[in-house]
Amino acid sequence: MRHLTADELVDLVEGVALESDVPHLATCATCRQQLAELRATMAMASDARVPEPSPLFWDHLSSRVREAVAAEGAAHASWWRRLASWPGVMAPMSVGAAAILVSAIVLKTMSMPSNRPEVTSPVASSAQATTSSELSGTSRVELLNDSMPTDDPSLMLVAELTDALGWDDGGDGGEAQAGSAEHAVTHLSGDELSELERLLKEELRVKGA
Amino acid sequence: MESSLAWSLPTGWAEPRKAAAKSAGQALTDAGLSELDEPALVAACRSGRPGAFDVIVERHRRAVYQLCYRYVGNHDDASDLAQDVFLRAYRGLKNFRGGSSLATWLYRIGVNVCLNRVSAKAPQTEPIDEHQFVDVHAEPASEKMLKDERGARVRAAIAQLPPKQRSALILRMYHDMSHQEIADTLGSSVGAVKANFFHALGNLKKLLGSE
Repeated sequence: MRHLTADELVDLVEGVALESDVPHLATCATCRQQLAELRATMAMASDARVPEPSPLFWDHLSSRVREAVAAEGAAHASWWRRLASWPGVMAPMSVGAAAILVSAIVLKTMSMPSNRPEVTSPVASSAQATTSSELSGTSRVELLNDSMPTDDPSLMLVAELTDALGWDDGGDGGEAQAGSAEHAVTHLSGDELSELERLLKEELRVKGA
Repeated sequence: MESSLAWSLPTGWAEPRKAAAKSAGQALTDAGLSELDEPALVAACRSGRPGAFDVIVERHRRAVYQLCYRYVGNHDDASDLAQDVFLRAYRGLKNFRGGSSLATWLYRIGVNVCLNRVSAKAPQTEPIDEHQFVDVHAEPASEKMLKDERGARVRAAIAQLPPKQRSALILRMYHDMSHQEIADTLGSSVGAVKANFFHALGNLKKLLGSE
């Protein structure tokens, strides 16, 4: 004879199955007794209520949870804030970031091919070509292929003299200052130039030149 | 198919929800939040709406506390564990998919938290009447004492059950969960839950009969 399984007994205890639907119960005292014991144990267990805490406890529990959640959120948010407010970390990071940015811009600018003809002194160019390790390969080739001779002493002298000149100095080059004899001669009108020519010829004639 | 249980269930969900809604803590929350249904409340919580999680706590704090108490058998540990359950729920709410009810999900967290605790620390059931709120108008003192004494014996016996049997018994008898919900909570099958429930009752009878 097959006795009732645990699954069948649980269904009977919980009322899912009816005793009338299980003919075995009518003929098996063991299963009937087991079912009765299960029901008695459940009835006893159902009396085991959790003691009711103080009515104030529930709000206290809510407050504790609220504080714990707030502390959790604050801890989560503050690690980055703490890092950001730590000068030992953020100052070097800022300087490093700035250095990387500047280096990237410089390298990018130097690696771009220039459409404008460069007016570079041969001395400076050769110095740059030989000393600057940051130059890209393209720039270096351009400098080496420069059509200007680098071994002409006069050009090197001019280059040295003009190297320190600014744009305005170069623009003023060849112009006499106002008030000087050179400025007066170079700024004569046509009549004045004719009169000057006549005076010079007369002077030469007097001297028998 | 699950029918209602044959024995009288302790206070479950409906009564505490009404009581909680009128509690003093409600004043701290947005009045509109307490009217939201569960999915809307979870969505409000996920979107960071202030007070939304407070409403979740208020709705479920009694059931979570009682679950924890069933495992550890004393008020102090139960309140610590209940707080831990809600804190873990807050952390994990973004992962809550709504596949089960919020209560079932909280129970799952609660069972894990409690089993971790009781495996690390033997439950210390407290003496009768410690931390208990005594309502002098409810029933005669002698009758209440007898009930409390029986209840303490049963709780102490439940605390001695193996973890799976204890979980099946607690969730089925005191939290009105179906076998399927318990299986989902414990990560097992309905058949295993029924077997654990059956053996839990058998062992409980032996433990109570041996005293």
